[in-house]
Amino acid sequence: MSKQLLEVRGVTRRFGGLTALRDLSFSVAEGELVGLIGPNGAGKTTAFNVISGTVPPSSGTVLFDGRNISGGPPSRVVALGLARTFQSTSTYPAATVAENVYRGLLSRISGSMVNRLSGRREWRLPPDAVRAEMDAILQMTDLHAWRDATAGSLAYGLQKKLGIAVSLAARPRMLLLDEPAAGLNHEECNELGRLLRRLQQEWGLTLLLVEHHMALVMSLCQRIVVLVHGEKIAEGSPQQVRENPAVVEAYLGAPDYAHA
Amino acid sequence: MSQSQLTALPAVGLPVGMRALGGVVLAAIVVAPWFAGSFVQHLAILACLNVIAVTGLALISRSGQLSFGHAAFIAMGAYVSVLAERHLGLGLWLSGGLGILAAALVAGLLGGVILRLRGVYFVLVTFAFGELTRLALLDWSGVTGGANGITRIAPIALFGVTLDTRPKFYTLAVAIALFLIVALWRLFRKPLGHAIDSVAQNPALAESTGLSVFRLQLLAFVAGCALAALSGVLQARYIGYISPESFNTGVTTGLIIMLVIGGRASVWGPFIGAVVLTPLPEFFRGAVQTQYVFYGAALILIMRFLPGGLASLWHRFTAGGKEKRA
Repeated sequence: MSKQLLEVRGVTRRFGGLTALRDLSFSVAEGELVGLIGPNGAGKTTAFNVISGTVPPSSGTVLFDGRNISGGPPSRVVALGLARTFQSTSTYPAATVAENVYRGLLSRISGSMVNRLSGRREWRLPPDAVRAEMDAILQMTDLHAWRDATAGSLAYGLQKKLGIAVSLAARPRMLLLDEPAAGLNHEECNELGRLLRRLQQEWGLTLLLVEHHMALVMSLCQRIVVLVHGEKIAEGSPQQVRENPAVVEAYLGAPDYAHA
Repeated sequence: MSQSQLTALPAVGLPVGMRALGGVVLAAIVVAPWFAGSFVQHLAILACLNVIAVTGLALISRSGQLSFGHAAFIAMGAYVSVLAERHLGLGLWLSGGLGILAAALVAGLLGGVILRLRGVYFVLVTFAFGELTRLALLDWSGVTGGANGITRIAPIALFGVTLDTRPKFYTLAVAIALFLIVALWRLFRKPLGHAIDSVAQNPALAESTGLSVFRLQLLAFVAGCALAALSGVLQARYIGYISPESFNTGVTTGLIIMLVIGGRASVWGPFIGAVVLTPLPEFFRGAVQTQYVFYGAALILIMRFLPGGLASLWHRFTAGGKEKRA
């Protein structure tokens, strides 16, 4: 059995009187592709925010590679190798595609005051390596043709892909994707599936995605965690989850979801 | 450090002819005061001091914050350095350094607390801090001279040369101002500069790619306030007199107007803003009561029609209307 990279242990998060997450525990092994699903308001995005350090848990801990990362800050969590994308498109709209990726790389360029001030281990990344890295990321995400285009001028689907490219630039070991398929058309969705699988297989990236697009989740993920009302009601392979009566009752509903 | 990594990015190419033209105009503006009358020299020196202070403000603004207490840090540089010279007998370098260090230290402490605030709250607290500083200088008259201020401040003596005439002082002021513009221009081509821009343009994304928004904004705030203090150190020696009223919020407002009208996104913005706006009140001398009306009107017009400030006109012309907005 391979090593657990991410461990969420008994995480509860309250917002005033509302309990968004109740005693959530699950883990993701190194190299695994896991889906987090559930109806709207189930606490998926809160779970993401807690894991990425944007929001501290009310109780419980999040371990990444054996280290406690609960409470962030996000920049530290990223430095340890866990990056995220955002639900809405998140880019630097006035900068070009290449500049966006370059900015994603910044925290790894040694000699910058950022690294020195934060006392972080310096990753030496000489100029040619920066260029090679940018090329590799643009190639992988198929954004080469738009390299010099302004991010804000891109079509929605490309902006979402650029969001992934920017997160990849930090060279994380694990990537959290918050509804990467939302708003994408059928073809873009298939392309996204291929990209995520390549990232897992070729770059050895561990992936956790929150997604509503059931066909994508079912075909892509090795394991699925189901949240309802902030609680985990099921966990298992796509097959197991699909056949779990509680999941069908609470979320999947009609059995022809896969054709959605 | 070589910046060849940026060759991977498209160069912001301006036509060579336009560059040459810009260089000639710049050189003319910089050189003219030496040959001009005494009053023009006075305005040129004030413009240089403003360039230094506004450049500090621009650095803070590039990191995504707006300080409304900039004059307080100019005051700190001026008062601390003058008092250190007078009471501790320190030379220019030490007393000036102490003034800048004091401002940087206070900025670090203040920023450490309030940089967690966003937008309007940061503006409000810096505004309050500016007023607090002015009132403290007024009240603490045993040390600061209160409302009477401090008079007869000796001019700067550098390497055996006393800068007691306007051309001499202008030489120093313009050299520092140009040096700072070039330094800032270089900074925003380095990774650190890109990181500061990233933080301003999308803080959540910057944080999630490993850039600490808090640390970068703190760094920009401390450096920006240190530049304000530097202009204060120079101003005290040039005018020979400081009082709390030389550093009221009106001064901060004037600097912000220079930054906005000059252009927030360009390192040339502070220069353009200071050169255009420093002499402006002189034209409205006959209308002291109404000059702020003109200021206000100019500000509104710029914000509406030229949000990038005067500096963006340059790009608008050279880019051949590429940036035309829908």
